[in-house]
Amino acid sequence: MTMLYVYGVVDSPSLGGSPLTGHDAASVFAVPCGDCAAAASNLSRRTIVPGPGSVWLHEQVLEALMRRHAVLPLRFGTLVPDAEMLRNRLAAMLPALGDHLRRLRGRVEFALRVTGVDAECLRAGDAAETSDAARTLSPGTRYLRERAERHGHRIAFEDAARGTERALRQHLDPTAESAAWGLAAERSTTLVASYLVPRKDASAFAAAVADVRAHHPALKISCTGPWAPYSFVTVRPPEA
Amino acid sequence: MKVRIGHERNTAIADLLDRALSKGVVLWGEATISLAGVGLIYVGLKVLVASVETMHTMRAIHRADAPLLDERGA
Repeated sequence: MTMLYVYGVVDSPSLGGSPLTGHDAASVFAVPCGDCAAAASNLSRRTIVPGPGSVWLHEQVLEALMRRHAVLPLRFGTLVPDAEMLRNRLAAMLPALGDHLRRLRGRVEFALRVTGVDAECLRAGDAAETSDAARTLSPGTRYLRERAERHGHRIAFEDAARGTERALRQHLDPTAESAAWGLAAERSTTLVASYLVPRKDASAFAAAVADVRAHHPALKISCTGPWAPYSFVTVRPPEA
Repeated sequence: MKVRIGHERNTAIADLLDRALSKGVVLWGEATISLAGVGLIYVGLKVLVASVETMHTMRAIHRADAPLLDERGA
């Protein structure tokens, strides 16, 4: 069964420019809806493997489209049985899609990862767990004490992480339009951030990142991009 | 050209996967996103690539498949 694989939504009823190649070397074409279009290609299967190559290809199609249009990236793996169903769904979401296209035109996303905030907190935690005094306690008391200590270290880490975020944002936020910070996962010690930056200011943002790395040598800060603005799209299906 | 300011060789692909698999426009909701062979991501990269939330979603979709690697990406 042939499906449509959908890459993104553009602010034009046609894709324009030179032909693009998508998954399985299939041509990317427009499925128009109003003043917008979905960029899609035929896929002769019902699933797609989310490996590095296929996800890179998804991103490369989006980046090629971003050189021509405002683009909203779709989540990887979006498959639709036919163009009519896709067109109907786009029509139901058109006002929200239009708002996002206007807001994100000419913007790209950068990704940050910050580690090293936890070094002192973790060292303190390790010391507590191996102390001789703790070995003399009953198992129940030792368990409760260690649990309380771990909780305390976690709070200390979260305080330190908030402080680090504030310090880095002082340098980075002025060069960006929007930012979202958080932990890589619950209980993680890695801070992650997404920055929405006008494409024309990408070099200034990269310079700001280099600046914060120089000012915070104890932190390990990675920055990748520019990506399609995945993190700044909040369009959801009507029933969600 | 991609900007890459960091030491991890796989950071760029990890950042992209974290976004493309869990963010972006959703047309039909999580259940209709058709993913296959999810475990290959973690085997191939040997790094923590996706959010825990994303992995839980993938586990729910592929509950009957072979077990995935844990959050450590080991």
